[in-house]
Amino acid sequence: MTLARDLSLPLQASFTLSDNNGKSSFMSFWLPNALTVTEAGTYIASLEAALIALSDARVERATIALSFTQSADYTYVAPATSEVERKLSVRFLDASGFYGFKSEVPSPRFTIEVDGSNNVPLANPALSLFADAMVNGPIGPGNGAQTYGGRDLTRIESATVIHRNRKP
Amino acid sequence: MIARLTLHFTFEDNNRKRAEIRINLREDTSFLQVSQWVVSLETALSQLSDCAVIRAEARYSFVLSGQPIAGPNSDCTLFLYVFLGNDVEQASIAVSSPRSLPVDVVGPYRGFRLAMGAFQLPGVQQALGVITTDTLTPIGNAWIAANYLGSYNREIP
Repeated sequence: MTLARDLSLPLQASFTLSDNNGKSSFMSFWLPNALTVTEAGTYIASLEAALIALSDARVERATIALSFTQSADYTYVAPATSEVERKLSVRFLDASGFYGFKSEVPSPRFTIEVDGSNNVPLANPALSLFADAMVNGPIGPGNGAQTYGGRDLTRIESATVIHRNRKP
Repeated sequence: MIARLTLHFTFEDNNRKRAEIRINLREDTSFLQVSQWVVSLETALSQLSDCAVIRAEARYSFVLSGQPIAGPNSDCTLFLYVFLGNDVEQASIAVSSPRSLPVDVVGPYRGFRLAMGAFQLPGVQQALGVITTDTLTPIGNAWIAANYLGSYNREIP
């Protein structure tokens, strides 16, 4: 179990262009994979200028996507009871407590559930591991995940299993 | 400059149905740090979900400084195909709504001739030079930065 980048392949940079009628198109370029984020930004700016010279459409968006795929020896098979429609809705809050972020993890393991309740205790070890990974990240406190508005998530508020289309 | 960085994980259940979760990360997260994020979150998510975690993708969205509006005759169903190659592979880049070429042209032959004419324009030469210098083929080889061939076609609506 290890998702990893294939470093033999180049970075994929994608541009979205839109015309005067609101129609859009999409095009890709491939960049050297040894670039840093800052260097990639320089390449994006250079390509944007080149595209403007070639096209009179509006260059609307530029994205670099890093893809991580499973290794060939990944043999895990999801059990028959797995169901992506079932979710574990985990809500995080920022330091103010007013802004949050909700993450819905598909097909929560039945072992984390508590009979008679949809709520998963915040002390559950698997939930604590996820909360730590989100709030502190791999780099440490202050570098965790954020709300859509860019506020740091500081704590978990609730975790609820949402039984949608749940298998018996 | 990065406008947004999101990390996406794709899950697959026993019926091969898929679902994705998205996580917002700080914009100053490096490519190397994103790899660390993926390992860390994959471990945590695997403890919570019984699905297979089949892939992850980090998407950096960049701030652009280009033209604010599209030209009055712009049309993203028109493409300038730039054919490039090297010793082992050939590929094309399709630039939508090409500038410098009349948008009412139809027919691949006339379009091809016009496209070849457009390649002589200094601005086009310079832009294609940037593309061939800065970018690679899909499998990571260098383009040959000369002998451009192009055609100009209207996409089928």
